[in-house]
Amino acid sequence: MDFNEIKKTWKNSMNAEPKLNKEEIEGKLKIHKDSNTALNKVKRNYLIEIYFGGILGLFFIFWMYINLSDRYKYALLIIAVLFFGVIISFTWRNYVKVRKTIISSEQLKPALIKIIYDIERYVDFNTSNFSKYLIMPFAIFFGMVIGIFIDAGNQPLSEIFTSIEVLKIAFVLTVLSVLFIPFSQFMTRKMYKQHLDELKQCLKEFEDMEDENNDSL
Amino acid sequence: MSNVALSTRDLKEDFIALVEKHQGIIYKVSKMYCDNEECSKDLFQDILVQLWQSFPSFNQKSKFSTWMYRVALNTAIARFRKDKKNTEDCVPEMPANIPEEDIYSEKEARRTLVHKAISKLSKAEKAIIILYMDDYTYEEISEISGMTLSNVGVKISRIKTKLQKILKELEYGL
Repeated sequence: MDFNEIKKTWKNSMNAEPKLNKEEIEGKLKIHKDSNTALNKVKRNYLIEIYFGGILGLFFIFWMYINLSDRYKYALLIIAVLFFGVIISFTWRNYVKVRKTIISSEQLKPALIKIIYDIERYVDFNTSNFSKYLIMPFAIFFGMVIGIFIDAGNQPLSEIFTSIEVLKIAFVLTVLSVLFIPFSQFMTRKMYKQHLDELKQCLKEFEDMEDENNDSL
Repeated sequence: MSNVALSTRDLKEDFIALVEKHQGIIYKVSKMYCDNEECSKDLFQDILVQLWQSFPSFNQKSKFSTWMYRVALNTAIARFRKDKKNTEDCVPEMPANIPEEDIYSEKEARRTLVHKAISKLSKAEKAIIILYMDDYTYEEISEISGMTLSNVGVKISRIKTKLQKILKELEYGL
C-alpha cells in the first residue's frame, strides 16, 4: 500500500464517524468526568492533600484542646497550628502555581516541557528532603509527644521526659519513619514515575528528531 | 442577568459553534491515540473539556483549527494510559488472506490494517503524521509542533517510510 492509499483509507475511516450537533456537544461539556491528564491528576492530588491536611489539622487541634492540661495546652496548640499552617500553606502555594496551568495551547515541545516540569515539581515536593526528613518525622514525633502529654496531665517536664521515655520515643520514631517514609515515597513514584518517563521519552523523541535532522543537514 | 453571565454564555455559544464545525479534529486525535472505543470516547471528552478550559486563552492569532489541534494533541500526549495492555491488543488481528465471504469487506480490512499500523508509531510520530494526513502544510505542522520547517520535511518522509514498512509486515504477517 503506498502512502496515498494509507492517507485515503485513514481519511475515509474518519468521515464515517458520526457528527455531534450543538446540543450533544453542550451535553458532553456538562458531564462531570475526572480528566485523565497528568496535570489534572496532580491538581486533584494537591487538593486532596490540602483538604485532608486541613480536616486532620482541625480535628487534631480540637482533640488537643479538649484533652491537654492547661499547663502545656497553649504552647502545644501554637506548635500544632504552626505545623499544620506551614504544611498546608506550602502545599497551597504549590497548588496555586500548578492551578494556573491548563493543558497548554503552546507548540507541542514547549507544552511537553511545561507539563513535565509541573509533574516533577509535585513529585519533588513529595519526595523532597524537607518532606522526608522534616515533615514526616516531625508529624510522627509530635503525635507521640502529644499522647505522652495527655497521659502526663500536669506533671512537670522533668518527670514526663525521663531517659527511658526519651529512648522509647526515639525507638518508635525510628521504626515508624523507616516504615512509613519509604512507603509514601514509593507510592508517589509508582503513581507518577512511569508516566513521567513516558512524557520524557516523548520529549526526547522530539529532541532526537531535531538532532538527527540537524546532523543529516 | 449580569454582564459576566452574559459574556460567559456568548463565549460558550461561540465555542460550541466552533467545535461543531471542527469536531473532526477531536475525532481524528482520539482515534489516532486510542485503539479501542472506550479509550477513544474518554479522550474525546477530555479534549473537549480541555478545549473549553483553554478557550479564553485563544487569541485568534492562529486559526481555530490550528489552536484546536495543539490543545488536542497536548491532551492526548499528556494523558495517563488506563490500561497499558489494552493499547496493543484491542485492534482485531487481520488474517493475511481475506476470504471473500469473510465478514470484513476489503475496505474495512484496509482500515483496520492502517489503524493498527498507526498504533505502532510513537506519540511524537503520531502527532506529526496526523497533521500531514489532514493536509496541513509543512509550515502549519512546524507552527503546531514547534519543529523547524526542514525537520518537519525530513521527519515526515521517515514516518511515511516507517508506516509503509509496518504495513508490509502486517500484511504479510512478518
